[in-house]
Amino acid sequence: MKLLTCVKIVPDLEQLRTADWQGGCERLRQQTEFAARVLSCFDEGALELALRCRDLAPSETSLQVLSVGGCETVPFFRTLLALGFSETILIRRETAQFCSPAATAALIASAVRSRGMPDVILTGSQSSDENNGETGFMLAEMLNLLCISDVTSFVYAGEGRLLVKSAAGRTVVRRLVETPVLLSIGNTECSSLRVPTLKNRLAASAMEISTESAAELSAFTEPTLASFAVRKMERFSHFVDGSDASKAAVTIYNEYLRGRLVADDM
Amino acid sequence: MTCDFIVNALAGAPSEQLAAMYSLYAGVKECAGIGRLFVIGGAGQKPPESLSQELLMLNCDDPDAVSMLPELVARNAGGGGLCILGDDSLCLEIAARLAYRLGGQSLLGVNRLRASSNGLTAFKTICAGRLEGCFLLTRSPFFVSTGHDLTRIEFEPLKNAVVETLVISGNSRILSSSRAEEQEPTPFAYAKRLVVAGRGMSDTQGLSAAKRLAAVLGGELGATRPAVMCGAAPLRRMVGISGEIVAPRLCLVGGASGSAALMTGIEKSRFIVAVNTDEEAPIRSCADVFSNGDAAAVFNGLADLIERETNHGQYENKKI
Repeated sequence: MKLLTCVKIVPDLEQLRTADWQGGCERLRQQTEFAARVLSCFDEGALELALRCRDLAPSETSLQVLSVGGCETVPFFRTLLALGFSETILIRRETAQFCSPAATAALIASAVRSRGMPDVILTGSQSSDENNGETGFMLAEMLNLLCISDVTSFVYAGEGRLLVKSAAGRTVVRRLVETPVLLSIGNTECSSLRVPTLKNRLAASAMEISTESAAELSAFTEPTLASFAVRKMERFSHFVDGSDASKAAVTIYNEYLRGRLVADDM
Repeated sequence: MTCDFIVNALAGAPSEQLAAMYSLYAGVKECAGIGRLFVIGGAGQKPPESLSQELLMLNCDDPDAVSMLPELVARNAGGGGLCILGDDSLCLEIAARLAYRLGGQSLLGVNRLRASSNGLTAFKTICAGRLEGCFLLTRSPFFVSTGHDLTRIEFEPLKNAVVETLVISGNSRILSSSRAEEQEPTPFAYAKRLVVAGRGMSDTQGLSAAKRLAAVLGGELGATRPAVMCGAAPLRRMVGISGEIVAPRLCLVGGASGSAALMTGIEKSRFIVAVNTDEEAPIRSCADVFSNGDAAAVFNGLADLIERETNHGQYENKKI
């Protein structure tokens, strides 16, 4: 079974201060260029699920990973090669319109068609920077694939079939599906990617990363980000000294909570 | 322009979903009439209250977008220029697929919609809830789904809607499926009081303090994403942009730095108390009260005081 995971490397937005978010859309890109890069959180879960699927059927599973981006992707691909991914594909695209899921999906679809359809394509449900949530769905449409969303786990059931578990809210759905299929990974309980050994890292350092330039695609007009505003989430914060936890609890309860709790229960 | 609506009744509370969709429609109702309502449901699904004169039920045992799309295209969903969909995964997939298939544009998680001279202007949160982006949509048909930050507007249900019901065959690639509802004694998302444990409280002691405080308050326990990933709480208790968006009267947060993703989940709380040993934590500026004490110790202290105050009982568990 050939498993392709599509990932996105994103800026670590936790590193940015509130003041960094001021300015226009071009400044937004400039500000995030200096932030460290991380795997988008749902993509990380997708990679770990792919590895767990391989753990259960190692001789029957081959893992590939694909990303559309720039040179910041290479260190992450080295880690994935060290974890046992057999092929890494980087589609070089240094700059892109903010929120361009159709263009990204088209690049991935083109790469998939040229290499042959895998049995399973994994995507994260959305990236942690653009939050558009559409790339996986558009990719499924372009490749005419069944898509299962909110996937929390899956196992290979033999003979070209997968047992897929998905959960949305309080509803859990278990499906037996035929491949090829696209799985959009949501919140999983194993979302952290395992760490390769030093020995595997050294072995992977010499392995090839397949790289190709982003092809020119026919124009697909997508919604454009015209402007943005920082969302105000600040409140007037009363400070309570916590050096003595008991005293802090007494202050918080007497001055801020007791009246509210009594009023709520009236 | 006319606006069609697509709602997935299997995602629950179809009337609430329609209220959210109507809120989005309200921003363009001056220039867009109400078209048809498409309702996706399970076998034998009854029609919900309708905001349109024409209601088409698409019933399927295990609906998926690939099975639904041919009928939606045949019925010209979105043909009037605009289609508003719910925020569950099936509707999101339908929105993206239909936009691509019909050469239009889609945008998911929209909180506000306005008509503009050459199309639509749509507002949604981006960058994990830190920013509100203003997007221009210029190529119809437009397919937009509802976001989390909507102000719900109730609509007057129409009594004489013409209802047509179609049974759709499921996808042949889905060989079997089973659906189960997890049982929860009280809906966590609607709790009046909420205690949220961050990664700093994901050890045994911290978690025990958080659970105890939630119990004596008569509230519920939630957890941040890092705490859930540590195994401190199950996924369904996760609070934040990729978990539950909550609006309790009182929210106590311990051991959480206050990432934008978490704050998006709790910002609708009426009163927020945050405890974190890091005085520079971003949550300090987003809380009504902040203390730099040890969260487990402060929460245990609060629980002791509440128990003493209520004669070793607890505050009554009430819903908002």
